[in-house]
Amino acid sequence: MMRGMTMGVLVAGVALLCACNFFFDDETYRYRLTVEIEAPAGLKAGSSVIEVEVRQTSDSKLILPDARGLDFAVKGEAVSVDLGQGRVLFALLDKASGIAEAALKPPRYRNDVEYGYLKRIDDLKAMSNVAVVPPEAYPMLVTFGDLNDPTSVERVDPDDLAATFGEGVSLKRITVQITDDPVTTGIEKRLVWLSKYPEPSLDPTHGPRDFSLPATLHHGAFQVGVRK
Amino acid sequence: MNREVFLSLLALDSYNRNYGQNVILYDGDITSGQNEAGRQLGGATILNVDLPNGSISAGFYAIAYDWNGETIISYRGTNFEFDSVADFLGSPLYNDVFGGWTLGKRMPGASQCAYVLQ
Repeated sequence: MMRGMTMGVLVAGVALLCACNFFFDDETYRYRLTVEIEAPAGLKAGSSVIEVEVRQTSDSKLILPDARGLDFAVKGEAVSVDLGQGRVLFALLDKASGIAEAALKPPRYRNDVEYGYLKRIDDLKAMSNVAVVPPEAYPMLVTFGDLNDPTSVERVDPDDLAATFGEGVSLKRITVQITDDPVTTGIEKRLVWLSKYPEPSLDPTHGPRDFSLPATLHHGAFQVGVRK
Repeated sequence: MNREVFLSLLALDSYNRNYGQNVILYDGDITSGQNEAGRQLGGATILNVDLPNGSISAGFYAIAYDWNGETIISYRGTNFEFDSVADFLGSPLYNDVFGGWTLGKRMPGASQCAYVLQ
């Protein structure tokens, strides 16, 4: 009985799989996100290669208008910039699925959200220039009072790094460049408390009405899709 | 607003929160998910409840609201998103069939149900 049901489910799954090849298209690209900081000791920089997979429903007439859409999956980790004396700035993954587009600005196509979005991604993948990320697309910047204590996380104002890191420290620019380099890994060596799961918050003891930064920021903002 | 209508809206809302969001409601929101805690939907406030570890890879998502002192929990159902054999094995449909629907036949491994209990 159980074997019969399992076989039935498998057959139905394979049939659906065959059908769904007509319903979805996808594209994957990687980009290097680089954060440059002006500091009294000179320019400090850090970068991370992040992968984005974009899936879009095809223009098959079998898909109802309400069922059309896009889906994004990110793989990678936050950018770390070592500012010395134990202070590290992190540029998080919170905008990782759209930051390359925001910086490189590939041409738009008519009806691109419904039908032609992957053509934009094709154009994006062919762009080789280094592009500056506009301020409205900046990722969230954070640092830790103590790298070993996730609850010591604090937000960093991109317009006023000196308030957190001291006089003479400022954000020079954040850039994006399309690359074939492998996805960056290893942030868990610096953040030893980082789980392989994206779900936990930095303060797992928080209550349901605690909306502070450690309670609402999750491990997935630092690394996602890298460790199995 | 009629209670049933509003509860239906909350049920619908769970599909457009956190990972897999498709309708961008706020400037700065992204489709791969962001923090929702503390946001308002009508008179309901989204509560800050972490998903159990492994929920996203298992295709599980739930969200809790505070509505006039009452806690409302909304769960996502099955989505159909895959375009290759490799994708199928990690797709919401596969996860739902083998991690959720199997509970109906009392088969082991209904991982989504374990997340519901958590």
